[in-house]
Amino acid sequence: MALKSDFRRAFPGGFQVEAAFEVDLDCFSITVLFGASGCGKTTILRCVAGLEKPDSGCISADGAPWFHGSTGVFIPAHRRQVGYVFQEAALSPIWT
Amino acid sequence: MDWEAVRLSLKLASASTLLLLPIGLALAYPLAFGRFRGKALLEAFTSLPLILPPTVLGFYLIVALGPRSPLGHAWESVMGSPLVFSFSGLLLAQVFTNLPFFLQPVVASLGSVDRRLLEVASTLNAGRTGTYLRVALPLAWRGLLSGMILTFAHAIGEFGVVLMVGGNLPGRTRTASIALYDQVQSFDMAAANRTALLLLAFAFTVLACTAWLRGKERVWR
Repeated sequence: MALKSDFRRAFPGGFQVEAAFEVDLDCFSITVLFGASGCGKTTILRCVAGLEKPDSGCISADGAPWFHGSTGVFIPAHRRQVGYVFQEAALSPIWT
Repeated sequence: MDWEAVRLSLKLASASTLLLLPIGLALAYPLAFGRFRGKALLEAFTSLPLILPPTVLGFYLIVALGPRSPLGHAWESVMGSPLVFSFSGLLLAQVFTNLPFFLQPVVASLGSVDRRLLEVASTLNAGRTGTYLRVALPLAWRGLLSGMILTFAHAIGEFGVVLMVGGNLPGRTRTASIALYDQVQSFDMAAANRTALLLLAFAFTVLACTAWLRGKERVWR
């Protein structure tokens, strides 16, 4: 499986996060995303997981589009095969 | 005391609370989480009964449910009797009238649910309906309970809309608040006093319960 991303996400105030990368996920690997606080690491992960919608560009997994800005394709988070570990524990008091 | 009217009030209030539950929950979702054009209009429309004179609301409900309206006509051809001045017509009118009393506490409670928990649910493959029903609503149960209590209480006390849409038919559409009006009209002050006291005690108990629930919610957060 290959994850291909090339998207932009703009925030009010002119700040913009741009991401263009390709990750081969066929074999076990660890990819580290690093950068200064506030540079957009979380935004990139949230866009890949489907928790946030980029403004333009595309994200695809194995050729299947997860997001495509010009055609309006947006696969919601619950239909993407992605696990997401949140920065702080987010445990529902009802289910724990 | 006109116990028949009291019984009818209780029956009407219970039925309208039950009927409002699925309708209200379907409307609460877009109002709490939706981002779409026309959200302000939907909000304004569902809040209308709060400030609209009950007579205006009643008038439009008569028009909407009357035999000349598509709904009223279809009802009459299937059921054989008109929808206005019937218990069923009253029930539909009550559902619309009580919409804001249900929606406001429910939407407020849903709005204060931690968004991260909803995001966690969606990354764990829960769809929108699943996230709403199994994560958001259980966490907003106090708002849901307040909404149901307020709906029930307001349905017991509604006067203008019930009089406009239901008329004043003993056993069918004469509720306790309308019986009180009749008692005053016929100078039966002793009976009016008993009915008024019952309605007052009920309303006070209900408000005390919802205030207590809200207080609990603040303490537990």
